[in-house]
Amino acid sequence: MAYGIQVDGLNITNSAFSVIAKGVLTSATTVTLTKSSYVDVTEFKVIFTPTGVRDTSLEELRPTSSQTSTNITITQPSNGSNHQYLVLGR
Amino acid sequence: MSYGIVAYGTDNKIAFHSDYSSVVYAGQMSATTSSVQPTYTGDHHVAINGSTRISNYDMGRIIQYDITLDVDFFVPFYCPNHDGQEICIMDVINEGTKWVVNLLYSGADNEAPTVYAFAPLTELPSSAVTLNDNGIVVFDGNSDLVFTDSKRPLRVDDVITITHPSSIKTNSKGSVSLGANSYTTTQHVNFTSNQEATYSGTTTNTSNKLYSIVPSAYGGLAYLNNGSGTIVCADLIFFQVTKQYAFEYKSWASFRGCVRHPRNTTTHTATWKADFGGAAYQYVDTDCGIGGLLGAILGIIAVVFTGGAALAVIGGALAGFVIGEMTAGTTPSIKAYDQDEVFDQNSRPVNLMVTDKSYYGIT
Repeated sequence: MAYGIQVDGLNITNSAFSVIAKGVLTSATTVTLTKSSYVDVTEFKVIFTPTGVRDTSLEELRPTSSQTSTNITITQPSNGSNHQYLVLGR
Repeated sequence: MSYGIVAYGTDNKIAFHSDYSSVVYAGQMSATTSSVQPTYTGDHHVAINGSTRISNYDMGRIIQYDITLDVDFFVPFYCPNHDGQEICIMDVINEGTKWVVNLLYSGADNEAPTVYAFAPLTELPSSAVTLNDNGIVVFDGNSDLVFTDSKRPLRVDDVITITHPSSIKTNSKGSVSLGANSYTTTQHVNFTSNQEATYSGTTTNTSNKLYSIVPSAYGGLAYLNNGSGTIVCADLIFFQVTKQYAFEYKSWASFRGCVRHPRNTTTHTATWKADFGGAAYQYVDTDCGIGGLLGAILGIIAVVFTGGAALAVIGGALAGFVIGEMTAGTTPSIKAYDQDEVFDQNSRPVNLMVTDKSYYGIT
């Protein structure tokens, strides 16, 4: 490549997701993150990982997330079970 | 950042950044159990053989994986065993330094998908990271390692938002034919799902692609056939000697939202696969000339559907699994024993991430 970073013959030309924020959801709550707090990041994705066996007999719900141009909102419902969230960005 | 380093890809998005930890490949998970297809085998059960579990109950197979990984945050990716395989990551459990994944898949016992672990680089113990003698290492303001060229960062080819259909099955389940003198039955209705939803991405599915999604949707299908009547024992000149009979047949299947990734296409299909099925039948009749006992006798079958009896039987089927609580994962609310139900589907889109083995040197 004309310029940039090359490691062990591999050009670093592809973007990659990094962890912008992370947390644990254990009870009903809403987490709001302001995008402008994370400099240089232009794309955000939220992923949830359950941490435990899902008790479907309780009609459990998983958390959800939504985004606007300025904020990321993560919502854990009242009948949610423990989840981790990772906000990935690049 | 006031100082540090940031590298961008050709799409002008971050490749690595000294303020943020990269997510890296941390190892392949090991299957710790054989796959199972648990069915109800308790009181009054109607046996469901292997082929019927697939043809009538639409069952996948449940299998468990683990990996020793001392991290607090964890992201599982899977690689389907074959084209068109339906997969659902059901549970992710952290036990000390071990992470466990319960997974449901379609296919034969020897066709389980492969599962890989990813985690934030800052979470990995130093013993799990070997730095190259030369190259790049990046630390954040807390002196935590956030990027190294020896651990290639999570490169996501595509993110697709998936929502499961609002029902599992809309066509007929068929019926079982029962009545007077039906003392036993081997019949089953057909719970095979006919509902799916397809979403388009931008990256072509191949045998090298890895996928990460923990679907939210689950539910169940149920069938009930009951009745009662009178049987004539003796038809005499002035009166009839009769006896009463009654029967009740119930069957059900618990479903999980799965995803299929057809190869050589850019589409992903949200589907349903059953993780548990069962059928129970009871027939009773009185002696000739005796009536009025049927209500009490038929009460026996009710215990099957309280959940408690069913759970004990499921637990036996999953005895090889590390997580004993797995039994709870196969009971989609008591409602689904009585009627068709779908839970955690409405307004519940989930992100599917797609990456590729080749980015991490996985063969």
